[in-house]
Amino acid sequence: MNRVVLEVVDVSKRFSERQRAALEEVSFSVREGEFVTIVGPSGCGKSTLLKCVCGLLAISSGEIRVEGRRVTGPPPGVVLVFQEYNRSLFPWLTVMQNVMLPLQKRKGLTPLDREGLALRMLAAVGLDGFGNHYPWELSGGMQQRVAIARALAFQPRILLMDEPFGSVDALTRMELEDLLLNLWTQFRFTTLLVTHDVDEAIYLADRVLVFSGSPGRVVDDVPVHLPRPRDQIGTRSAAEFASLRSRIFRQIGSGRVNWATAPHGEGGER
Amino acid sequence: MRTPRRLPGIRSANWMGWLVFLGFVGAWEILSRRSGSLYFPTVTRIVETFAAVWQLPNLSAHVVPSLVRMGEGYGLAALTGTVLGIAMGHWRRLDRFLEPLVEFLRATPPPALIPFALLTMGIGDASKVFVIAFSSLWPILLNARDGVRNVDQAMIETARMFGLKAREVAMRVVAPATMPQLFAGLRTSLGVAFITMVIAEMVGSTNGLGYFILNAQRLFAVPEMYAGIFLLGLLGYLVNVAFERVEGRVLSWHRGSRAVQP
Amino acid sequence: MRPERRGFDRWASVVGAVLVWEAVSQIGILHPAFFPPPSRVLVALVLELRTGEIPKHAWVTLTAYARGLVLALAVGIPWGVLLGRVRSLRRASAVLIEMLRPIPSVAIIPVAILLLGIGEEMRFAVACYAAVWPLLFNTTYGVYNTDPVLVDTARIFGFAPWEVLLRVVVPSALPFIATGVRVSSAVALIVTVTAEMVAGTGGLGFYVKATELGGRIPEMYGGILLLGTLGYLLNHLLRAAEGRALRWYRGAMGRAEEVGG
Repeated sequence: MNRVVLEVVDVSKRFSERQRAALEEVSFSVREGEFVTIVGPSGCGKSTLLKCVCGLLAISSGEIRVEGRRVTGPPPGVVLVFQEYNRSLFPWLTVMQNVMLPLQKRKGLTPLDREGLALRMLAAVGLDGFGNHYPWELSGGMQQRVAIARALAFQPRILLMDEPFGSVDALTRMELEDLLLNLWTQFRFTTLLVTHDVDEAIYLADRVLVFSGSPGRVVDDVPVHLPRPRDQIGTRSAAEFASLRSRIFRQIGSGRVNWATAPHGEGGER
Repeated sequence: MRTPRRLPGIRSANWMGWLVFLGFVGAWEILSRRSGSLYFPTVTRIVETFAAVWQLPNLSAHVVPSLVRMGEGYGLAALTGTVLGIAMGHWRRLDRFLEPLVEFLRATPPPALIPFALLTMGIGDASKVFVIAFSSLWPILLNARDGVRNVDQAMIETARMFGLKAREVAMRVVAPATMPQLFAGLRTSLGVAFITMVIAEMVGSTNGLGYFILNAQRLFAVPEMYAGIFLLGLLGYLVNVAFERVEGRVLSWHRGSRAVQP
Repeated sequence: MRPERRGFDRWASVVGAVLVWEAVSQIGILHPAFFPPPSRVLVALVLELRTGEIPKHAWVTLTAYARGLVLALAVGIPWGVLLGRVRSLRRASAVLIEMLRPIPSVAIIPVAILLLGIGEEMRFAVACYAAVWPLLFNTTYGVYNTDPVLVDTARIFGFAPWEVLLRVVVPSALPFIATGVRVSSAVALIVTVTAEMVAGTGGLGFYVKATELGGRIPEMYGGILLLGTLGYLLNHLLRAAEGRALRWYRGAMGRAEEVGG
């Protein structure tokens, strides 16, 4: 068994006294190299959880530990790929410059190293030759791939992804899912991916954490023993897949979000 | 990229903001009493002078002419700018033809035109009104033009599809759709008209608020000078508020739709 | 922005206007004493350029304008970044700023004359005061609207706060700052020329006024023409520089909202 790299212990998050808690006593851990997905209805605090894990939001109670150390600010080596990929790319930099920018924070790399790394990552996501384009010149799916390339070039210890494929069309989404799995198989970075799509959650993961409605709570921790490499058609039509699906859907259904009292600050326009 | 949010204005101020402001006023008062200089009247003196000066005689001798000139110049600019701007927005050829001329004329600093106006129109109101109109014309014209150009094609096509004829489309689709941008231009021009009015009165007039302020300085009537400056600020503020009221009424539909934009 | 059309027809309207003026003035529909034909104006202009009269005044105007603008940049942009970023500062200065804001910068000219006399210092100070406001407001607006997702992205990658400021906030606000620079430039020129007309010791504003009073009408027009050309060139230059530096912005968004001074 690999060592534990991320521990979330009894984490609660409340944005203000008046509102309901966004997260309530969430606990789970992730081992090195694991691919864990978090699935749940909109508004249940999934994005908030990711932002807490990468130190962008402070938690109200509990503890988050990355590689044994408490998270008080953005921990080194933890990268978040945002849902709003088009807003996370720097519009005044080219694709290549975007991918190389965070590498300046990595010690021990020469400019040549950085360039090589960036080029390799762009090629790995299938964006060979687009280095000199600006983000706005690319389609949504391509922009998301740049964001992924940038995160991977950084060689993070933990990769967090917040509904990364939520805003692209269904076909592109399948391509990106497979791309991600390919890269993960190559580089084996620990991944925590949030999605509202149950099928996607099962398809990608080693384990699925099921979240209930607001306040967000872990209601189930579902191991996924489907064989790898996964295949869009084959894996999704397996009997095991269907039974996992029903199990998860039933649990999500039991904790539907009450829109009238869902806490603010979750996802959406900041 | 997302739509920029407007800066919260004075409403964002807290007690700290008022404290800073009062602190500034207080510091002025203390320092001016200490200095006793002619050029540095105390706040109390200025306030007294303000109340004394801005009574009916001065108001009608200076403030009314200023506002009338500004109103006439602005009105002229609004009319001309809207008509010409819409024409240029509609007929591309006209726009292409006139654009360089417009670019050159609008770059001319308004004060440069005052001697020209004085020469050709005399020292009466006409020269001032001309300069005010000339300088405030451009924001209105350009915004009217752009407003017409930027009307969403989808809207026009929808209207056509419902059987509206060209004239109806123009009046019931294009005109309202152009309003927000036109008003943006009208607002900018209001500021320009205001400033140009002051400039015109400082350089080439024998009455008006601009003249009053400058004249007070020449006569070393310093509290009066400040009284004029602050009245100017007050007027500027009031004119703006009045404009916003009108804009709010006319564009009430727009505020709502803008709020919903993704 | 549409591509500029090359060729003569771009200037057709300007040339046309000039020709019409020439004809109308020569024929006498407009009195040539008040409306001298462009040919006469051009001759006068060239003569004045030769004698060094106009270059001297042009230099006075340009130096006051440039000095004022540069200082305004140095003061207005950092101040705007500060206000845009630090909410408590913004709130604390809100009342004072909103109180000063409605006062047109030209109204400060008499105050400046009292305190600094009628020389170059006064003109420079007034130009600077006038230019600071549009820069301040536009910079604050731009900084205030920095996309939090960009800031968060930088923080995740380990950027320190000052790095975030320099490498994310400022570049992101650049389109707004650029608009502010253009507006400031226009305002600085206007106020400089006005100050020259009011104070009367030098500069193109003074020149135009003096030639009118002295009955040297073609020379007056020459001065006005020069000022117009100056305004046009400065604006053109700034737009060109802005276009170069902000190519990415044009593509990504279109036009930035203009914020007045």
